[in-house]
Amino acid sequence: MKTGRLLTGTQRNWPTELWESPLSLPTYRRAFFLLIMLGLGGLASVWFIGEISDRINPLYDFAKTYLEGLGIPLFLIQLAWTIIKAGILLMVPVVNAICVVWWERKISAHMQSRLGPMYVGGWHGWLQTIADSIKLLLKEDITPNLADKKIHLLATAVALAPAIAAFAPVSFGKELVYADIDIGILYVFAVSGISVFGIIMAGWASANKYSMLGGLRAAAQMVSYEIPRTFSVVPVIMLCGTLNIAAIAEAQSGYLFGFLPRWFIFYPVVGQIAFIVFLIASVAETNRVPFDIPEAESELVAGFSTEYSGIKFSMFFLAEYSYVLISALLISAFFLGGGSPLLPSLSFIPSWAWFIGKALFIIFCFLWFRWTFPRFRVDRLMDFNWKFLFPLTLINILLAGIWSAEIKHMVK
Amino acid sequence: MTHHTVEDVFAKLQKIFPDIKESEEKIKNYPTWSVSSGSLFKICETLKKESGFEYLDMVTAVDRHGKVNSAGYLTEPNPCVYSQNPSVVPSQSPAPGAGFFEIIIILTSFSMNQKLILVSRVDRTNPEAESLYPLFKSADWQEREVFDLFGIKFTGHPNLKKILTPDFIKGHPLRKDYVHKKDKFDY
Amino acid sequence: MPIEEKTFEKPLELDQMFVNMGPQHPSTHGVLRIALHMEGEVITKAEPDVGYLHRGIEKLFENRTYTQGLVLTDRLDYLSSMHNNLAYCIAVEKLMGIEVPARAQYIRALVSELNRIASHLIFFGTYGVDIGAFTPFLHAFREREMIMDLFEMLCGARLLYTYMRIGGVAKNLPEDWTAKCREFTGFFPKRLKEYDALLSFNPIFMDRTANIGIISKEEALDWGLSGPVLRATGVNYDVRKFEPYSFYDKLEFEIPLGQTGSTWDRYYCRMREMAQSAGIIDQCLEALSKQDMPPDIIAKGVPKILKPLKGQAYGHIEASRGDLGFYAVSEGEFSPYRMHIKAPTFINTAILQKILVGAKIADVVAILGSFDIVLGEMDR
Repeated sequence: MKTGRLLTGTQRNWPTELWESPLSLPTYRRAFFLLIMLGLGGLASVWFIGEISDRINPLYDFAKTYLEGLGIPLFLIQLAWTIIKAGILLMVPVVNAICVVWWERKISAHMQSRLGPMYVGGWHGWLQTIADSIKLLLKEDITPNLADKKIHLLATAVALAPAIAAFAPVSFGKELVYADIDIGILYVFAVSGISVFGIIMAGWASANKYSMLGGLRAAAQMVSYEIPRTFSVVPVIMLCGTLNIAAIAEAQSGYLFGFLPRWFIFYPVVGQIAFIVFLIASVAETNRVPFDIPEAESELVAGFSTEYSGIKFSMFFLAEYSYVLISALLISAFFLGGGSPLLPSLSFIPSWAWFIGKALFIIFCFLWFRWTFPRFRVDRLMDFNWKFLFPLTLINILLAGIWSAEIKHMVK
Repeated sequence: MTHHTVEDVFAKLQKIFPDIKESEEKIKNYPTWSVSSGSLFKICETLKKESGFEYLDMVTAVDRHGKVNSAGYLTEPNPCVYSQNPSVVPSQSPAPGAGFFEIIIILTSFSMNQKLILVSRVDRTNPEAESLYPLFKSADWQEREVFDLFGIKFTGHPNLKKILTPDFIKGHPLRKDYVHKKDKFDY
Repeated sequence: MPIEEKTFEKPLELDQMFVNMGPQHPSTHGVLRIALHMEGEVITKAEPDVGYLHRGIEKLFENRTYTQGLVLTDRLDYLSSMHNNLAYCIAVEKLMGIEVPARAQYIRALVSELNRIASHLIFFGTYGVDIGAFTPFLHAFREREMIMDLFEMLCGARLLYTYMRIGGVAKNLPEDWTAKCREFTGFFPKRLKEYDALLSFNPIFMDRTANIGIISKEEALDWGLSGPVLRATGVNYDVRKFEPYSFYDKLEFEIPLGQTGSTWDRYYCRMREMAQSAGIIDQCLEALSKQDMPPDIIAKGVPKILKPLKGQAYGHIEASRGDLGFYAVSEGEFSPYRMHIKAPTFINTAILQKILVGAKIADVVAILGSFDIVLGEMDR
């Protein structure tokens, strides 16, 4: 006698061997092989495209001489070129959010033995985020009755605008910088610091106690973590002698003993400490797990974004993912050598591909943390910052001073 | 001093409190003592301090009003179900105010590996009993529940409020003569 | 229910804040409301408010026959319905003096241990979510799904089983069920190690849970706690050992005890209980596969319509959340004269008003989650 609908005989088997080790199933082995082939195909196409700056610059020079020949003043040509570049840069946060959200959903799903989005777009739900963004745009925009309506609206802009503006001096590869300014690092840190006002305003204006607690937590957390984050970059600045992000990335090209890249992360002790502190502080700055206490969904419902819906909510969302990308790009510029290849033999891959590849790896780490760690408690978070990270960065600056005074010339 | 069996405890307690006696109807299969409501608190105190009954399992009550015609509660046309007029009481029911409440208390002793049940009668017209809260904190919510559902007032309880039923429910639903008055949630 | 106007004994100070945590809140595990008075993020006063899910089940029992009442018990602690069924059946069997056959006793122990694992897995998953780790949740639900499959095979239901009957159980084990169950018990202990690596010994997790919500032994006894919440403080009280039912005296298992009574101890007690439960399941399967076991699954001579004589009985078991008791009073009718449910979460939750004071708002979630409350049982 058999009872039960689903588990009769061979109708449902528990794929226990899959849960023990994913590669034990032929389907998964095939998928793994497919992924490797896709990666190789991507590499080939990247090699085919080559350095973007080498392709764009002749085009620009040709257009410039042609237009100058027509009698158009130079500043107008330069203005048009700047507007085109700015338009491309404006697309970066949007495209980034769409890609990273889909990526995050797929990665988290496979970490949790599920599949994630599978339907929209046909192949592994690749259009899911587009569909979600359309849904967010069309959703009703609700402002609570008691909310301060102007500030409630303004908060979204204050949160998002700096996130986009901070992209200006960030380098994407060799000569791929929108604004190659000499105080790039200061600019990025200063501008991205403004976003916290948006979050505090959102928390205050929502007229919700959870929102307000979330806003206050965000203020405390983001202001505190600015300090170790900035201080951890000081050794990089000391050793490279510049504040220009592209120049710092450029300074790390070349190899020590012919095989070890001169990336900052490979500098003994100083480099590793700075890298880890910067990574931790960046996760904290972007309000992601394990530092997502401003929006801790199990404690504060959704923190500062509790009372936001539709397009306004997606603004905060966009800002968060932009900061993730900026952090990843900065880490690859400061510590992972920017566009310089890992091995001399890999130099056929153009610098922008290295740059973005490293940034994607850092983004993957961000996602990995998010789906592995539990959340800190608010006071422990502050303890961790002020009693551990902050002194560590100070010691690291001291070590960097010793390095640059005593050891640097010996290695060179 | 400790006792080895629950009979020893009973013999000792009977010397101090003469009104304690073995209940005629045992709650299966535990020693069941019937005590007067006046000495309930003192007996519990003695049991806790001298015999190691340090753990209060359960506090509840039974309404010994008598059997009421419960069929009326299941079918719609019976006027007693959603009575606008609380003076209408179900037919075949005992006279109003008849019977008594029984307070049931279960205590546990870990040293004797024994559970013990105390049954105490409370007057039905003005039900009052002494709260066990000063002895056992676990009586806090359980006594509030009994107060909410039976209306037995526990003197000495610091926070005797309704706990389970909403505030607009008047009366005590587990009393046998409880009649639900129609409110805005009834159709 | 309109939220009542709260009148405070003392008006709030300027730097205090009143926060209603619940009844709609992601981590109150249902419709529990905690009224919190806070100074910044620190709680100065906490008042748990229950009753939002009160359905009057105790009153409903009085108008149903004993067999119909069995269905109501499923709706109490809906995450471990088998325990509710079992406790109810034990109380009614005591009332009527029914002896349950050996096979049914072993099946009862078996399914109640399976259900204990399922219930603790939900605790493990949701507790991770409360603390902010989302991945354990889905891993736990994957394993729970296996138990749900087993139960579906056994009785056709996945949540509210009504599998027990007064005098025994409803059905014998299906033919390939034992093999499936062994597959589960072979697979499950390895997953427990994975959970430990993923969550239990994670430094952030331990940092957040190890030093908060500490309950001393004396406090725990005073407040009448039971279940893993009590055992985490070091008190060795488990009904399965204290008053063995369903042949638990013939099965070998240990009672995991905590030391400090902290939130982490409560969590880890449950994790260790799951390993013990897997062992008990193996022993039950072993006993059931013996040839000399009589095939009866329900006691002989149980009438179709139950009409116990006048009397009272109290039956209690170790449910996954604590000591679950049913107190039944019969007046010789078809339906009980009174049926009281001693709900462990109802009694356990009362201590919250004491231990939440001084905690942070993030700790509220951690402490509340560690009590593993189910509002269906608490509010009845």
